[in-house]
Amino acid sequence: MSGLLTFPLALLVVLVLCIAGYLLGRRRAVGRVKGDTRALHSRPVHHGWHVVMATLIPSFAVLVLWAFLQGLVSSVYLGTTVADDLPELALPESQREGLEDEEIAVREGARRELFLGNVRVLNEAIYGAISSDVISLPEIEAWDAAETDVGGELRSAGQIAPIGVTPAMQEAALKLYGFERTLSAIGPLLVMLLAAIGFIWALSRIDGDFRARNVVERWVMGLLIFASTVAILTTLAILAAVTFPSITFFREYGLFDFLFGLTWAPAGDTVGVPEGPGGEYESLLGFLPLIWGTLYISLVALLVATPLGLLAAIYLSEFADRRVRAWVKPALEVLAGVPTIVYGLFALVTIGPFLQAVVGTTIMPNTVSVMTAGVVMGMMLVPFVSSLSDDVINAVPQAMRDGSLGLGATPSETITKVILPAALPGIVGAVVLAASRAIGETMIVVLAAGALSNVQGLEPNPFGAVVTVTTRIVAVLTGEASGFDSIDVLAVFALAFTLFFITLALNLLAQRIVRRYREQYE
Amino acid sequence: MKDQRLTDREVDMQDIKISAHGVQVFYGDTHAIKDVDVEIADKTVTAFIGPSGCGKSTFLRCLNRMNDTIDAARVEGDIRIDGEDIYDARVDPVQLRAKVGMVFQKPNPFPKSIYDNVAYGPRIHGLAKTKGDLDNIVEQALRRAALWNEAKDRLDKPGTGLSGGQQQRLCIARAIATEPEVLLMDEPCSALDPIATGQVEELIDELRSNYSVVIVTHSMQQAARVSQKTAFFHLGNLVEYDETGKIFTNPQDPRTESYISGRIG
Repeated sequence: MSGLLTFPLALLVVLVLCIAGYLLGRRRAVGRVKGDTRALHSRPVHHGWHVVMATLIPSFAVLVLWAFLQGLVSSVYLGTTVADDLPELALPESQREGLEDEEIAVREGARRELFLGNVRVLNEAIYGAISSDVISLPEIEAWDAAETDVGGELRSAGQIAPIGVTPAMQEAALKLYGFERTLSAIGPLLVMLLAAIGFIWALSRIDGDFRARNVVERWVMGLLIFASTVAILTTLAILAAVTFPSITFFREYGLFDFLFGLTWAPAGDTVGVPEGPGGEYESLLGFLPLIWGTLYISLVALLVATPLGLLAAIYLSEFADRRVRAWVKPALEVLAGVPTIVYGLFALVTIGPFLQAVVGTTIMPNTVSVMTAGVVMGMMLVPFVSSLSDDVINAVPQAMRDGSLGLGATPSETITKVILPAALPGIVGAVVLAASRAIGETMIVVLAAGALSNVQGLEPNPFGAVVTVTTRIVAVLTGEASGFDSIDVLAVFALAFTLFFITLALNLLAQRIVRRYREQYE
Repeated sequence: MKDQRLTDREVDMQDIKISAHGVQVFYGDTHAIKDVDVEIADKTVTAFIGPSGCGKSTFLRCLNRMNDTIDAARVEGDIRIDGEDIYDARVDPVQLRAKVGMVFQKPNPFPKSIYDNVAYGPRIHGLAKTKGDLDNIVEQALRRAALWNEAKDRLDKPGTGLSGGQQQRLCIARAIATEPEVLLMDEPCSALDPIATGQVEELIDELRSNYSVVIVTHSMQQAARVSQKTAFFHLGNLVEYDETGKIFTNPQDPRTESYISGRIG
């Protein structure tokens, strides 16, 4: 238990020092100039914050580093404690026969890895048993692995422990345990020490001339920069995470075959081990049928959402009086807040059967289809289009309306001939943004577009089932799919990668259009 | 144009174009125009002057029912153009505004080409049968707005790309292309520099030969330069309305005199 308490304790100490530092720093700053705060270069608050920062930043940095590096350091330690010439690591004579030296080295390396792995598990088991107060450390040290079944004992204490623990393993595990205990005792101590040093150092620097404000403001700016870069770094990290597997996939499967293949039929080949007779992959991973499904549904969705959303926006911004607007706008925005899975359910249980009843089962054999998903996705996008379009229509200056009405134009002429042309770039931007949402949309299409695992060619029937890029990503990653050694799983990364670029391109396009529009009036 | 001859400026007493009686305007609870009576002659430039918030722009906007577009505004009283009550239920404000053109304080060309800006009114009112007719209307309007020479080579360029003074003359061209009978101008020069102002004022003087022009202005010099008749508004009341020369040289009301001489406003 004591091992658990030290880091929280250190945090508590740092926190107390921070609060005390803030109060003391302020008071000391005022005291240095005998109460005449105008004689201070920085305000007392800045001096307070300066002490807080000097206390918090180095100690917190060490805390974070420690948490990250502890595992690494202990595994390096383990590697150095276990001697290379440990007898049980050597390959037994019976297995050495007829093997090259190289082969023996590889196998002995594997034995060593296995041994180290067992030591780590044993270490965890010892740690678990001791911290749950079942067995004490002296008890475990007293066991002799040659006679006692150490693993069995620990398992009966409720831990996961390896079978066949040898004395060498026990010794190494106990060493590792001791090392880790020391590490986690030193860590909090170091944190507290650094906090105390920073605290005293900062307090001692306080003086009338000390430029605490500049220091504090520089750190605050650093914080602001950090906050703004986190999102960008995350995007880059996501990009990196999908890019590298995608590159492996393209190299393995062929970029051309992927981009222009007309069949999607994963067969579970292992990467690097094509199972087809001619040395090609049995999995057929063509992108075209999937992007066809995605674009087809998106098109239907936009054909629904654009007119509805635009007309709604025109009504709201040009005709609705304030009371109607106060009702309709929030109601539309509620529609935007409905989780997409709920739309998916709606499509599956309501729209799908309805469409089927209308067009008949010959044209529409399943309730899932392009139309089912597209219409519902269109509904989902209506508030998106209407809200953005409403904004751009409202941004058209009143002077334009006055100018047109003043020439004797009717309100509808004013809208179609002046306001909509002026707002057009912004509206196009809204539609493009909606398109990029439609392309990336997942839950609705998973439920309502179709879930064939193999598709061949491009389905032309709008009432037929299709497969989209996102549904395949979901299916492969959540299905019976094999691990990351499967070419099918790698293909999914390529799908995500391509999808990322399509939506990125659309977003950039939309931003450019919207920006050009803004320049016109401001 | 001729300041020095203010007193003996000739005023052709034409027919009455617009006559307003007992006009009241309310913005919600605010009583913006109080019982205004005024008669505006045809083929004359009439200036409305007065301090900010005195109601002169509001009154101007009553004359083509632009106040209808403001929800909270309510107009009472009797305004007739050529003897016809423009607030009568049978009058459509859209038709009225085709007859009573308006130029606004800030130049507001549409984000279209210069040609399309001028052709906007003629197109919606069907004034041109052929493309040639329309070209002709656009050219005439731009010529009369003294913009033709500057704009003739760039008719397909956006109107928003013109300078401020050119934009305002474009808006005037746009208004006169619709062939209105009355032209209302709400501080048309307030956003312009002195040179552009001079050009627009010359233009206003020329427009007088065809239209009844009503101009709201903050500049007393401008009122003196361009108008034949001047109305002085103060706190929603029409204080004095007379020939421009008389208002500026021999005002009857002490408030007018204070304003003219710069003591109030």
